[in-house]
Amino acid sequence: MTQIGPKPSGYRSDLDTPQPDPHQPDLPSSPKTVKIPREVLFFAIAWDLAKTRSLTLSLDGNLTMGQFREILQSVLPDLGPHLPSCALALDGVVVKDTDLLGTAKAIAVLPPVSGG
Amino acid sequence: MAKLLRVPLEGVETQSESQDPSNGARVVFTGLVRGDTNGATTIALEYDAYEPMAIQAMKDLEAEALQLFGVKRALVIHRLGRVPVGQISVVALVESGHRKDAFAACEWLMNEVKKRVPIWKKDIGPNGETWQHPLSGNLNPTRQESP
Repeated sequence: MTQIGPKPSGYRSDLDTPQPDPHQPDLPSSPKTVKIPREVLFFAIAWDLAKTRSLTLSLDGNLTMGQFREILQSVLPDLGPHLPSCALALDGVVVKDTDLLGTAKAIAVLPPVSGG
Repeated sequence: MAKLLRVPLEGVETQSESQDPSNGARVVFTGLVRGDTNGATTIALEYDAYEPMAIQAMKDLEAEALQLFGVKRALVIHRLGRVPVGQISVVALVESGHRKDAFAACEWLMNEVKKRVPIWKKDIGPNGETWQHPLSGNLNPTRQESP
């Protein structure tokens, strides 16, 4: 696992101390509104460009996968030009950019496949 | 049952006796690492995979082959890691009552492996290493639009 910065809005690295959000009402915790650690997995050229096999980001379940792409691009600028051609999978299922992150634990960044 | 192996596939048994007496045909496709890629020399291919997802995708394809073509057995085995030129990278095996269905199912199986299984190859040549990412190889979302 690798922790890297900088820190755009919408996520928090595991090294941060949890802080209450002054803009949020004091509601009971819900899996969709609490930032929880997600393992982001990289393969093939995404692995090379990220310079790590995986990293952990604390992300809100209400993020869309499109918003996740933007966060990932700010965290890993070298990956940016290749991100549009990559599919994203949540816990092993390929999803659309309009899907929500929800309670998924693993986010895989999947370049176009080339098996065989 | 689908497999991802990091050992040579040359010893994979594909010529054993069929376990189903209704089978009259077995088609085996064996993919080899070719010594050139688009005119450039290849020394080896390095295969990477998202293993849990790749295994599930390969199992799904095996099941679909049985359903779509009415064949009795379908199997995909893919090698991972560095594979030198000349060695086997992938094996697809189909058994059926008659050869026509087996040939069709085996070709379909390999086409789908290249489109739907999260496996990638890096070309290793004398002048460097390059990931192969065909434009047609992007995985399609399978989840329905969120409400």
